[in-house]
Amino acid sequence: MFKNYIKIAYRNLVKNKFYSVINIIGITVAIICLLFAGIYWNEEHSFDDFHTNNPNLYRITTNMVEHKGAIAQTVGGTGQVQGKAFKEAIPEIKKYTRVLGGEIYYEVSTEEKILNLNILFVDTNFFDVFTFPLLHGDVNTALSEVNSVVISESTAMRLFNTTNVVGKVLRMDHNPSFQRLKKPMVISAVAKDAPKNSSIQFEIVLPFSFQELTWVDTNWLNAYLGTFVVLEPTTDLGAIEQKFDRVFAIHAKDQVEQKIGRYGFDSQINYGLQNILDIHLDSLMQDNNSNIESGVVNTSNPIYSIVFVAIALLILIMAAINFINISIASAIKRAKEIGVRKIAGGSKRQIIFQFLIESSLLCGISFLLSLFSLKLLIPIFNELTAKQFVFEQMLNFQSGAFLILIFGSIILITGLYPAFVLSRLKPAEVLYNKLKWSGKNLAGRGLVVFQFSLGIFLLITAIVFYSQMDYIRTKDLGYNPNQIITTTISGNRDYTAIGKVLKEELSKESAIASVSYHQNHFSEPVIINNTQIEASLMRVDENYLPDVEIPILLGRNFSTDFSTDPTNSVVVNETFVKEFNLTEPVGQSIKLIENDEGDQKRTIIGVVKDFHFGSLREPIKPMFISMLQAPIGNILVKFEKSKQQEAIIALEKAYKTIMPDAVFTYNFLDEQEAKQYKQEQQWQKIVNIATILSLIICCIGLLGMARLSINQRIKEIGVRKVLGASVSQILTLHTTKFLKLVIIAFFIAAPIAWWAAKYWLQNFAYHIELSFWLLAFAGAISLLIGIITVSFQAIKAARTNPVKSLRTE
Amino acid sequence: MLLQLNKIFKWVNSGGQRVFLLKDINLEVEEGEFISVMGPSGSGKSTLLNIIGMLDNFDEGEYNFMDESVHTLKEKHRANLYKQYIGFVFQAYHLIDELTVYENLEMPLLYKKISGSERKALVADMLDRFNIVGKQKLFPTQLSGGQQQLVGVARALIGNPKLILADEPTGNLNSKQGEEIMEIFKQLNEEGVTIIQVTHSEKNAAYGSRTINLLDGRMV
Repeated sequence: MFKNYIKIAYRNLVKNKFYSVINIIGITVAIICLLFAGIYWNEEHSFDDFHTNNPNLYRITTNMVEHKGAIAQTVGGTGQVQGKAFKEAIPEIKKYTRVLGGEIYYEVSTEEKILNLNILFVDTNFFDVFTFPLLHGDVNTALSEVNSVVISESTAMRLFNTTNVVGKVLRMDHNPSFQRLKKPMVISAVAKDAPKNSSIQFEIVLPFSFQELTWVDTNWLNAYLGTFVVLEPTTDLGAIEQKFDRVFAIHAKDQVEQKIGRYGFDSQINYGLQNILDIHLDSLMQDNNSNIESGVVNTSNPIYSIVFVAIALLILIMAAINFINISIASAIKRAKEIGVRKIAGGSKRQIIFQFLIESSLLCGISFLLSLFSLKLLIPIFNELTAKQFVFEQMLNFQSGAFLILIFGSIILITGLYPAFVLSRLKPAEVLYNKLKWSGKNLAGRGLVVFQFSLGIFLLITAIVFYSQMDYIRTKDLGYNPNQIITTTISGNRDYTAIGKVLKEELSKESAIASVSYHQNHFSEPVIINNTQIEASLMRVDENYLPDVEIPILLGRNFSTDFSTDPTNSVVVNETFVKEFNLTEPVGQSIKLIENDEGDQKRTIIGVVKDFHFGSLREPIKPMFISMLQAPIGNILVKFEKSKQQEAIIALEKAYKTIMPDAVFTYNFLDEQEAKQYKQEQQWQKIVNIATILSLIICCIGLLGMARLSINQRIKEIGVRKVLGASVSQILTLHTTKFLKLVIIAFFIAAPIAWWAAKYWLQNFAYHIELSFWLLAFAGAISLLIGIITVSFQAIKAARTNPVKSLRTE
Repeated sequence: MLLQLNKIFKWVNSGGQRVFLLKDINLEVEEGEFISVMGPSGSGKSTLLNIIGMLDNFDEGEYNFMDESVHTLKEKHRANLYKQYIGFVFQAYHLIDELTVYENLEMPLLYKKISGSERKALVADMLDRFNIVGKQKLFPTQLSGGQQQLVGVARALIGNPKLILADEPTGNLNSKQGEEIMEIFKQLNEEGVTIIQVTHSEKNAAYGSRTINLLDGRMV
């Protein structure tokens, strides 16, 4: 019996090649998308799942509400003191370890090599709290000495070309702690590289005591480093969080009072616990600058996995609609067979089973094709998602189970409904040609409309996405980031001296037009006439504004001719002037609350045109610019047009001459600026691909439907031709029917897409205006695609000699 | 008695009016009979045949088949009944195009869950009997109409039915092929199979032992 089913399934597949190909293409694309979505989802949700202390491993979070609730933020970390105090006071905490790192880099050298490495400062029990196995060395003594270091496997390979390097020494000559240590650091252990799905990544791990040689922070009001705790199983988290707050109230009392007295500081601080498994997908803390040294990296947003799965499901739905429509529409051909089978003794269940076998065969082929393509497409997918998936690593029991699940569901989704419909046919009706196929086929048309709505929705989304990204790319930022190389000086060096020499050396180079220095700061409160406003602060030297071509509207730029400029003068932007309502900005004196050293008075010497110093997601904020007292910070090297290569060589030469033991790295300012939209650009590509795929699936589906419909009406076409209809009349008759569906789909999809696009654009303070033309454009494209697809079939039919089609009776 | 129709009525509602397809049909068929149903187009011949074959329902009356009262049976039981006892032959043959001659004959046996070796024997038997052994690997479209109808009859017979219902079995055939099929029916009837055929041809009707004439749904 089974063999018989397979046989007939195979013969049908071959006989109806055209429709089989449509279905196989659609289902294959859908399966590939589903597999990728599954892989992505799985990886995103498997972060940090390898620690043996799970599920009792948490990090302490700090919730700060400042300025009477005006600024509330949650930071995924604490200061240096909380961990110890909490552990001592709360018995449910079994262990704690602090992690400081993420964006901290230092130059680490052996006798032969020097590398700029990502550094993690941790407490001695780091390798006990987290499960990062050691290749060499002992977990218990790995970080016990102040000069112990643990390096990762790949760092060991980079530095020594071997991993068995316990006992070898390292130097960090320009690190202040190393300078106080006064002895080399000894590698005590080599750890396996942290898994890719770890939120904690490291190249070199140093004991916290090393970092404390230069900096001990007893401030309870700070929150910047990660404090991880292992709790007793099944503890009440809420109760512990309350205990945290009680401990804080006792220990931080003096510091809070001091700050209130000084600044009117009215912050409220609460502590929370977050399971390590929840860290990766915590989107709330994703963009928070206070988290950059909390040891946690690569955080993500759960929306990405959801969007991926949604896109894959959309494509699956579209492919399934093709399958269902084609199966049911071609049922006229199969109806006779079903009738005969029923009369010959086949039950409804057996017939359903037979059709399921047929869809299994088709899905099976698609499945093999998609697995094969998956292997080929992984590099592209990795590029799109910025992940590193390896095909061979995905072959495991779990993914096998997932595959079987997908396979089963797709067979059911595509096969069950047609099988059910077809099995209900009555033999007396189909065998005596009494079967009335309602010419309308409402369900089929409904599915086509639904399918095209999805396709058009994606099309509009893609167009909006493209327009917005294009707008961002081409928008006048208010400054010119081109022709500028950026670099920095790291480590504990004499910045002022180096900066001066570098500037002098580079000014001799013909390829280099100018050198400037620039430093970004967080926002600071500014007071003018008792009005206080948070304004962004940037520090630059006298070359910066001309180099990046920020125009000065009023007053003047900083100048070395005025010795008071570094200490007394500021330049502000237009928004600053507007926010304070200044009528005569130049000469206006302003008050700053800067550092702990007390208030400072400054005078505005100039006003610059507004420029986008942040992302275009944010509106331009009030900003004041002060002059650097010494050449420190980011070094911006403006090179002469078309002399980029010479400029880089000259810069490297000067850099290396001045600092022979430094690692030279550089960037281009325009590329750096573009990087903040990397995620959007990535998603733009993904949306484009999804749109193209879905439109292809829609089209081949429409092609199939058109062909079936025309085949069923081939006699009608013959009769019409005999009665004198022209080719174009017949063409119109058959295309309008399908184009109506596309138009209906457009009117369903357009408002939804419009609304979704509007919602998304709100993320950008500067965005395109949605115009009617954009929708019209999308409508025209979809209509055009529809016309081409359908007329392709209709022309063929309309030109057939009617004698052929009418003879068959 | 094989079957008995008692005061059978069938109608459809068209434009608010009841249009009768069959009116007051009373028919008794004994085992071993060969009945020809005749009448002009639209007189209800095929409808009657479908009701006898249990493929169609009627609106009024009683139908007993081998002492089972069909009108009281559930759809599923009725289907089991016809699958077991009735073989169908169609004007348009209705072979499955995607299956070879051999497979077409085998198909009903597969649904009856008959073992492989027995299936082979039964199919071989049929092929032999109808002289189509050489065609067993061909697909229906590769056969002439007469050969297709031979396969159609063979398929109807393979389940060893008590009754064969043939709806214009020779309608699509030329006279020589038609004669061949009628000869086979005659021979089958002599072997004890009950046959009811619908036909337009007096000549074919003459093969039967009894003729029923229908006009506007009524037996005349």
